[in-house]
Amino acid sequence: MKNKFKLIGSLIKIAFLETISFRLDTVFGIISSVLWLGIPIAFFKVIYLNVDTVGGWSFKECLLLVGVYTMLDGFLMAFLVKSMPKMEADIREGTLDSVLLKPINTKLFYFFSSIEFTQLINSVLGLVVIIYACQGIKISLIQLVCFLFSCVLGCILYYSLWYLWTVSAFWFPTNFGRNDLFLSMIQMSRYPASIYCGLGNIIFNFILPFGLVACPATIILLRPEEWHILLLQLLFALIFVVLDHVIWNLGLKKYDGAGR
Amino acid sequence: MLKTYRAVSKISLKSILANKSSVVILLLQALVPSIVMFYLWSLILNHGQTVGGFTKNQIVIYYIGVNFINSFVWYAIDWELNDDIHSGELSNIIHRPIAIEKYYFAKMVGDRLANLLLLAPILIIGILYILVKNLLQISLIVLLEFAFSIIMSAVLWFLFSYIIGSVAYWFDNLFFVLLVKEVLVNLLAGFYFPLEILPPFLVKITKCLPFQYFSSFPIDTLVKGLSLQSWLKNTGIEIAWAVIFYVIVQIVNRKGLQRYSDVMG
Repeated sequence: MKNKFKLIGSLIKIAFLETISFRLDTVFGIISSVLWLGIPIAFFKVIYLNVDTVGGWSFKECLLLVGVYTMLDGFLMAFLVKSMPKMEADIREGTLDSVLLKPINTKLFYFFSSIEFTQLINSVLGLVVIIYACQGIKISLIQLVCFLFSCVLGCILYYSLWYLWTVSAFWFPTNFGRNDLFLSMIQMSRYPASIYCGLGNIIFNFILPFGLVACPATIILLRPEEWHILLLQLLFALIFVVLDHVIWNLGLKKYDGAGR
Repeated sequence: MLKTYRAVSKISLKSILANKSSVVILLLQALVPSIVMFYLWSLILNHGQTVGGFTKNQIVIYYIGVNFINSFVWYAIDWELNDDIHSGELSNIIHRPIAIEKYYFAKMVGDRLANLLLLAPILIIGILYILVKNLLQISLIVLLEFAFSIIMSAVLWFLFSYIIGSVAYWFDNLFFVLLVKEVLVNLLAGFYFPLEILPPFLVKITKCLPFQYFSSFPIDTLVKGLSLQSWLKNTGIEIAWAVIFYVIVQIVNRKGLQRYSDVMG
């Protein structure tokens, strides 16, 4: 166990050195963080110049949602933005063997091997927006605990969705923008889940539960009487954790390595 | 010589068509964001309101349009150039008796043709649906203007992305540089939302920049039915931008390759 922590520590150290070794890129990383947060805010601002509510959400509530989404997104992007494409390439090109042979859990290895620290700035900026948007809202301690728990569940769902999408490369290998598609789809999480109705509601809130990533945590802060959404989020997080495990094992059975 | 570039295009096209998964990914990439925007804007404009002169139908078609244009026009030449320069793969290209920018352009043409082939059935169904339901007034002239605008967008996009990708000659890691460029271009090209819904002074600024020609202008041509005079004026400006970018491409190519051979070769 101690060795594993030591190994993870070394991986983080290498990733940190990699992040700060390219100064221009680090500067642009900071700019990208500001833009990443600024664009959805501008988007909602422009919309709310024309309407008062969207699916029952006011501008300030949407701002809070954007803040929560950005915080979770920044945190997970830091760990996954480089490692998921790397994992996909390893599966596709048969170089996963070398990772499987390492004395560390494969998921853990990918999670810590390519951390992009500049993405964590997004999380901090997201937190600032949350604090700003929460002004005037009374938040109890239970609400705060539920909010944090919901954020953790949101992270699990975010990770699981990306992970499942990446390991689908075992069956459908392609070098055609798999991660780009995920990154464009996960942005749906910053819209209120209530915008979907009918089939859209089933697809985007349940089958691909993007609506359960950031919305529940926001709802817990805004409308504590709707706390039961946390149970739904917990149920889906558990389902997806099991799915991750099952699909990964099935994928490994399918994987032929470099000799494919 | 043309035969060589045609062969490059053909290889690029075949490599996309070889993977059946590419079809699914491409379809999802074009459709899912459009569906989400459909839900969002249907909710916002459900009582016949307009935003920036767009009705509900127009704005939904606008989003479908920009997502499809994304599939036809926006080839990630900058990311590819960045990878090729830093991995040394570029050496394999410059040793061939071909012009480097023409090689990448031929590659882009093949890649985009593959996308066009894959998305053609959906595109045809979509256009027929629009015409049958009379959602837009589209004349033959508008369709021709639209087709020409898309081709020009692809050329302009290529030249601009090539210039940005060439920065890799001078800097080691461009991951975030390219990401920032992507976000900014998406914003200024009208990919996130129509430029017309911005406050007037911002619209004026965006109209002075070349980015509107990447997606906003072709879609406005189709959705808003610009007058021939206005279309010609904008196309003239677009061509002028293409000439400027072409000159810059020649300069960065010369200086960049000089540096590439100096440092790496």
